[in-house]
Amino acid sequence: MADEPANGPAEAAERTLAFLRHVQGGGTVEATEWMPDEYRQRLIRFIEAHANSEVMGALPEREWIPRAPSLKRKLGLTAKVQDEVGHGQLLYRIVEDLGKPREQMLQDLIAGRTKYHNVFHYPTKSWADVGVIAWLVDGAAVISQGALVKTSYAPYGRIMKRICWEEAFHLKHGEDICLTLAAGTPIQRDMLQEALTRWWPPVMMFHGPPTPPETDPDLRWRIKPKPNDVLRQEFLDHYVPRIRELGLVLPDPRLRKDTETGRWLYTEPDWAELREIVRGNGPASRVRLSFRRLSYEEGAWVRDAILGRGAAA
Amino acid sequence: MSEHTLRVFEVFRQEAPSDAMTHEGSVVAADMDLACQYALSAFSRRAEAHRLWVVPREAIRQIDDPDLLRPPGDHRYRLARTYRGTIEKRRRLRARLLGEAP
Amino acid sequence: MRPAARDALAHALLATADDELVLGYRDTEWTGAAPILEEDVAFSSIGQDEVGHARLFYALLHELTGVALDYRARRADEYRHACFLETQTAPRYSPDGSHRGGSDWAYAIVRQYLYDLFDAERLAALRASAWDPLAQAVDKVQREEKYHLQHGRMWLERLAGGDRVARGRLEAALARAWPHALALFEPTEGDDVLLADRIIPVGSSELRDRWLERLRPSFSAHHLALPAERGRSGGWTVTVAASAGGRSGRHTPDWTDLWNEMTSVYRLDPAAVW
Repeated sequence: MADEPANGPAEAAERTLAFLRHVQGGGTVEATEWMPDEYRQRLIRFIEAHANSEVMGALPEREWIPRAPSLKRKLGLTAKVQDEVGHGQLLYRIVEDLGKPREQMLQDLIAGRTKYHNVFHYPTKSWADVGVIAWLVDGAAVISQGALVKTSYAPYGRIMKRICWEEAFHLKHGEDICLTLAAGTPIQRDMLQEALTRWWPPVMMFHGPPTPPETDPDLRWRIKPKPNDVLRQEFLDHYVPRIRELGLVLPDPRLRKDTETGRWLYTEPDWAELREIVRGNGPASRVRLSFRRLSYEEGAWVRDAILGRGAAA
Repeated sequence: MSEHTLRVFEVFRQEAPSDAMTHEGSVVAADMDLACQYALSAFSRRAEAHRLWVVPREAIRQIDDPDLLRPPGDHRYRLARTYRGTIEKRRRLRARLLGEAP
Repeated sequence: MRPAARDALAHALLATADDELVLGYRDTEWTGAAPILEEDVAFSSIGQDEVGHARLFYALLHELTGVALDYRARRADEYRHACFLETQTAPRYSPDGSHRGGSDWAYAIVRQYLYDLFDAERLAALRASAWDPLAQAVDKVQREEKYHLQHGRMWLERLAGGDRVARGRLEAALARAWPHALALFEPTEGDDVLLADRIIPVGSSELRDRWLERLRPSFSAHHLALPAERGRSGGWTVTVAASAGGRSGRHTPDWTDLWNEMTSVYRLDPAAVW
């Protein structure tokens, strides 16, 4: 029967091959179905990193909730950050169902043992960052997430549908802030340009290095349906013209679309720098993790109380 | 103090009246009351639910055995499209009753 | 409505709007930092609701007076919220790493619960107002508050019936909260006129008695002390002094910090559109 363990290594190898053909042919997998160990482990890492990114992504933006300069902005920003936390919750849930407990994931994150997206290792400096992050960082994420709807792991694909639907407003909220600043006072326009100049390099790294598809295991198992470079090209196609329409300057003199190939050309990001950053050596990595640790530790008594782990009153 | 465990609760959503309940996802909570609070904030922030069902995962039994769901014998007699022969039968009978050539 | 009643109602609406704004401000500081992910999402909705209610009450104030008030342009001492609501409870991030801990989830929950019950009584009184736009607006707010009251009751029960640490923190939070919670009932300017003209047909001491009545069953069941004693005839005698001042613009250092932060981007250029 489909979900019983294999009898011996030959049968296991055969099953793994059949599984690989299944996912490469567009087939999907549910939580209760048999999957090769390697697939399960890669899935856990991939989705866990995504979940980590959501909860770490909440940090740069929540700093600005108190400082939001109007109630409309305050509500929009709070709802956006709430969405990120909610997405984290949904994603941690499915990793739990794959076998890793949530407490362990949160502890691994805080201890720096697991990764989260590069963009959340950077500080924020002004209100314009709020607009740029919501429009362009979320914009880059939506392109990845749109592709992930077709992932081989069905529970992940279903969550992606909800996430894409919820994130639609993030982009509009971000674009609204940027348009307002671009059409505003000289100080506001300068603030926006400065934020864009600062955020452009991390955003260019967002989709990851141009790993050849043949060597990318996440692509092979169709956990990730599209290669990094394809996603980046889609991002540039959509956003570069829209950014320039605001009268903003992108800080890469090489950035242009080759009209013959249809490909965007740009200064190649420093991928070694990206590796360093996701290893926890970004400009704000330690300070953000230390805050996560603080809030987690201070909340321990609450979790204990809910779970009945503490000593009786 | 006895230890409660966090339990998984599956959440189903009905978007509009008379729609089917569809599975949205799950929350973890120590009890049903908290699970309902969390289901509301997780799955109806945009007024996308007319109704929610919150069900402890252990109450759900999954059936996924293809032998039970799709027994391999020929049961096409249960399907309307098996009876397409009626078109030709009707034509011949009409012809006979009208004294026409078969 | 006679001018004295209109002025009195304006004061009451302003205090209500300010209460909601400041509580919503403090609540939403927990977004992304709450002890449990599911709870983070739930509590954020509660905070957003309060900010939404503030908008509604500021709009009602505009309708009443014909004057649009920009909350951001007001001086700190022009705010009329109860000081109870301005205390920070969430952990505070600092870009240089000197984060401020000492976050108090128990106080956040206790405050929300005590406030929501006060709000329920206040809303019931406003619902009976002779001024129709107010009565209409309140219906929406009351229905949103259902979720808040459920949430608060659940948490009170779990902390009150919980382990030693939870129970201890709950009791400490309540003890710290009482003087400030009682000041929720500090009357606003002209509230005697509101009562006389049935604009708000329940006076502040009666509101406070009703609030104590609401608390009594669950507090009694959980052996939690109230800041008042109930007489045999049903009247209440308060045994804790209220730390009033908020309704006349006297606030604590936490408010100065909040006001500075809340208006910091706005003050870069008050004429700008954000």
